[in-house]
Amino acid sequence: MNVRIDKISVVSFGKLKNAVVTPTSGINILSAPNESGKTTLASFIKFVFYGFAGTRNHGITDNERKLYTPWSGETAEGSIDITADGVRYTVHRLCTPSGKESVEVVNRATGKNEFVGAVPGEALFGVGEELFAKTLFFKQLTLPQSKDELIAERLRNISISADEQVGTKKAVERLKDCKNELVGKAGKGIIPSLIRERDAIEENVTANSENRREIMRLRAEIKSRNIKLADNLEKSAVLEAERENIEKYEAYLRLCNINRLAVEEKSVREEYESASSALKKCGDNEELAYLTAVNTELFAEKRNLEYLERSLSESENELTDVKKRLDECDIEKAKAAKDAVKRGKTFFKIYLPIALVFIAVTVALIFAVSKPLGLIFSVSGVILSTIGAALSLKGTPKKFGFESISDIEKTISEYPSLKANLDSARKRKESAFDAVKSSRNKCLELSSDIENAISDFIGDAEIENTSEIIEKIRVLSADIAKKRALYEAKKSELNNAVSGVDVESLAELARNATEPKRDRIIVERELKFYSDQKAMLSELNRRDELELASVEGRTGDTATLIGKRDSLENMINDLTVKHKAYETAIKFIEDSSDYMKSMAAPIIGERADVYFSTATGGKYNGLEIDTRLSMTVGEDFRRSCDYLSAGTRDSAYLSLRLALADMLFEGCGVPIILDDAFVRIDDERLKNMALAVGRAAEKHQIFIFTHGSREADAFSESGVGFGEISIKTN
Amino acid sequence: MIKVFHCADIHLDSPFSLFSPREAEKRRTELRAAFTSALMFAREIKADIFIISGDLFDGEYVTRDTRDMIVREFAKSPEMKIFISAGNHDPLGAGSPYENTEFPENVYVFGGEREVVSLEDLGVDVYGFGFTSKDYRQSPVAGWSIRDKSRINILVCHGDTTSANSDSGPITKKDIHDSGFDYIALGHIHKPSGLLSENGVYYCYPGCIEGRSFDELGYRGAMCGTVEKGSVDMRFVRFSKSRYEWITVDISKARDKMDALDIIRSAIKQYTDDTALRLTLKGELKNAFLILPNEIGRGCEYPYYIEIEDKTFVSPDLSELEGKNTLKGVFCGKIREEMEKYDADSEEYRVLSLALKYGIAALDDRSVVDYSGGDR
Repeated sequence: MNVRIDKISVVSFGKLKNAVVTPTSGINILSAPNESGKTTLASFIKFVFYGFAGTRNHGITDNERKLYTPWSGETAEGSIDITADGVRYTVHRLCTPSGKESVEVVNRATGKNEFVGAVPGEALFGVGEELFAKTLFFKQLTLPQSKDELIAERLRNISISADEQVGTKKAVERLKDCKNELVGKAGKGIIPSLIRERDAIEENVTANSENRREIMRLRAEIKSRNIKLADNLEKSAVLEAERENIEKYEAYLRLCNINRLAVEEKSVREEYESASSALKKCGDNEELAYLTAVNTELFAEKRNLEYLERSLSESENELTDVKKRLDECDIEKAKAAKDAVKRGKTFFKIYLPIALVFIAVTVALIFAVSKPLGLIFSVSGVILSTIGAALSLKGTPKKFGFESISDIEKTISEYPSLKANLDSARKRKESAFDAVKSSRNKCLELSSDIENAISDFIGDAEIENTSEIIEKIRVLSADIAKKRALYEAKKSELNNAVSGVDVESLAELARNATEPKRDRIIVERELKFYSDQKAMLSELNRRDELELASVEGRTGDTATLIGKRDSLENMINDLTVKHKAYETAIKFIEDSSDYMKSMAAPIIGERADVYFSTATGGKYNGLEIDTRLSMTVGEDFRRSCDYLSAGTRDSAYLSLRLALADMLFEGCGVPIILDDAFVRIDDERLKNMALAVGRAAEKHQIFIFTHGSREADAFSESGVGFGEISIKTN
Repeated sequence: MIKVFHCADIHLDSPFSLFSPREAEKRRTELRAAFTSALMFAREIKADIFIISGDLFDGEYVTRDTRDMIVREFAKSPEMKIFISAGNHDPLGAGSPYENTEFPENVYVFGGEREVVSLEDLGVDVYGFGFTSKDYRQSPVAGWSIRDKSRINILVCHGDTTSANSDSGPITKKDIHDSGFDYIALGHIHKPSGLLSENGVYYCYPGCIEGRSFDELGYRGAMCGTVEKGSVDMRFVRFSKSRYEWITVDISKARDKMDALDIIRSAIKQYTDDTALRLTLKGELKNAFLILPNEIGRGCEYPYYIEIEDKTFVSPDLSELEGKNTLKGVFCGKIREEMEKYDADSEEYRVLSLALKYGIAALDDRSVVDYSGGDR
């Protein structure tokens, strides 16, 4: 759209208030001293078409709203009358102190508001505010005095991005900085660092897994052993209880034994005491031997006494007998009898031959006559003879009072001896009597001794039979001794049993004892087994717990590590995408740059050549921009723009920008604002530059803001027509 | 009537890999604190039964701090019976945290065998079942036989009511309908279900006790109340100290970064420092600018964690002339052309989208630093 500014009306903007500028359609030069409002006016033009830029910036110089807030504090407001493709519009814009902006584009012919909702500048010029500012708004920008490379860069930037401040190189460097910060050279950069950190954590996680398996194994071992230990403890407790019961039971048995011994001791003591009560004292062997000896002696003496008494009695009997025999022995009568017998014997001597004859006859008869007759005869003769002889002998002693003849003879023969016997018997009787007397005395003595001795044992009891008593004493003494021995043995046993024993404590200990089912030794053996097992398990556990602590100590919390690893993984993934995006952006910018170099640069160069040739008065023809964006001049001898003078380079720069405006707004006229754009161009070059600007003015409306008259003079001298404008205030 | 406290899906020692390691550790500590608060609350109300319906732990790896905390806290309530069913995240078995933790006597852990524990003094039979592996394809609710219907019968298990083909103990409504329990304390679904009923059988998912990711938005907690024969009264109690929230903000009206930050700050002003916020930015932007989370704001008035999911699309307002004759225009054209080759959900598309934004920002002489990445 061809746009021409017809009138600029400032209500209030920065230092300008109620100012009006009426430009021509060609070149308009506004000459005014510094601080008179030239740059403000230039900014006002952009404000009306695009509004304020940088309103979020805090600095005044970067924030146009702050920079151009009317000094009076009023609303920034104004309008520009334009003709766009033959239609006349008034673009009116205001911005309240609070920042509220409003704009309207009124068709002056119809009075209608057009381009509603659009940015007027974009609608009219076809470019955004940014590109407008960069291409049509030449605000006191000049190329640096030195640093050819920088100048060349700016020129390149203009040629392909329409902005000398930012171009491929800067954009790519900015992106590469970020890309390299993410992934740098030699393993540097955020992502490699994160990857290393993640890998280190991964290694830790792996190590932790192994450690964890070890930890689990150790825990399982410890747990298993703890179960065994608990079982061990339980069984040990049972065994301890069993052993305790055994101890109780042993105490109980010991107590029972003591009680039994006490009972037995009491019993044997009573028996002993009972036995002891039977004797005054218990005889010892010597005493008993003495008693026995004395008693034996007494017994022997008594037997001797009996014998002596019997001897005495016999002596007395003998004496009596002798006396009696002597008294009975009537020697006279015997003698008479003897005489009678003598006569009888004489008769018998007669009678015997008769008997023999008779026997002879008898035999003769038997054998001669008859046997029975002989026998009868013999028997009768014998009988008769015997009877006759017997009667004759028998009758004689008895007549004298003797039994028989022998008796008579005996009496006669014994009589002397009887007499002698009598003396002898008397002597023997006296001797026996003495012996008896002596024996009796001894018996009495012995009896006395023995009674005395016995009375020591049995007191004053009547003694009938010393032997029995002695035997009794012996028996009793033996019994007493036996029971005493038994008692003493029992007592000793009891003493031994209770020695060092607190019976009450023993009784307390024995309380609730039950009979053990097993021997103490078995229980002790099992207890020892469990004790050894416990010691072994405890030792193994202690070692494993140390090992566990060690492994746990070098094992981080896997949950934390995994969280950290996953977090890093996410960050790596996110940054990797961004890294790819940076790489992609770089690639596409470089591709675009290459495209621009190959497509846009030659076109711009061709257009710029026209302006540059004019601006240098034909001195430099053939300004070209190659695909490497190196600018060269000269048709015959190419030389880099880097070798041009500063003023010539400025001319080249201005030519490039005018060419860019031509290219961007091809076929359309737009206002171009040059705000102190020629300050470094000398007067001679300025005249040539005026020709170049005049060429541009064939298409575009040009505004030249300057603080002096140099530009107007140069343009006049060059024959380039222009209109002088001024800021008029109402 | 007995007092019941029912929680599930605690997921202690979750990695919280979303966060930086330091923040993740802080979140793990907060999770332990939430669980401790729940136990304190149960003690305070003198709950008879404390139920954890699975996934007490997030996995087999449990820190010593966590084990110590659990044992210490459980031991503080010897009169309270604690029933735990192992879930699909912490199945009972070799290497399981349950194996390595010496629980006090008032704690009962249900494993792979279906068991019932009778609390004679309370007149309650607690039935339970726990996972022994990550998968269990049978219904943990079906197949029980109630021993004494006159008693209060409670089932503690981990299972999934959302899918009959679930690998995590699929439970159908019919299973619940036919079960005959007075209350089924379920776990697995992290979103609180509220108290539900089927044929007089009350059941409930209390949800996770503390959100752990942007899949678990809002404040979380547990259920507590009373259970008696024929009547269950359970209410939700919040225990989470913080929450996850996810909002989408359209910043298409932002002309520049400052505008965008103002729009974002206005949109998130109800989320303060107890919130981890995922911020999805959408809209078509004329200018490319990168917003880092810490540029939105820090302090008690802002979420303690902000994650930006930038789904804005940069579409510089370039005229046809600009599109053809400027570097930026050519760059945008080339990137867009490349983007058309890929699906919008692909990584390539995301890379190109970011590259577009980075490139434009770079060409506009703006910062292209996009990796504050949080502190580590």
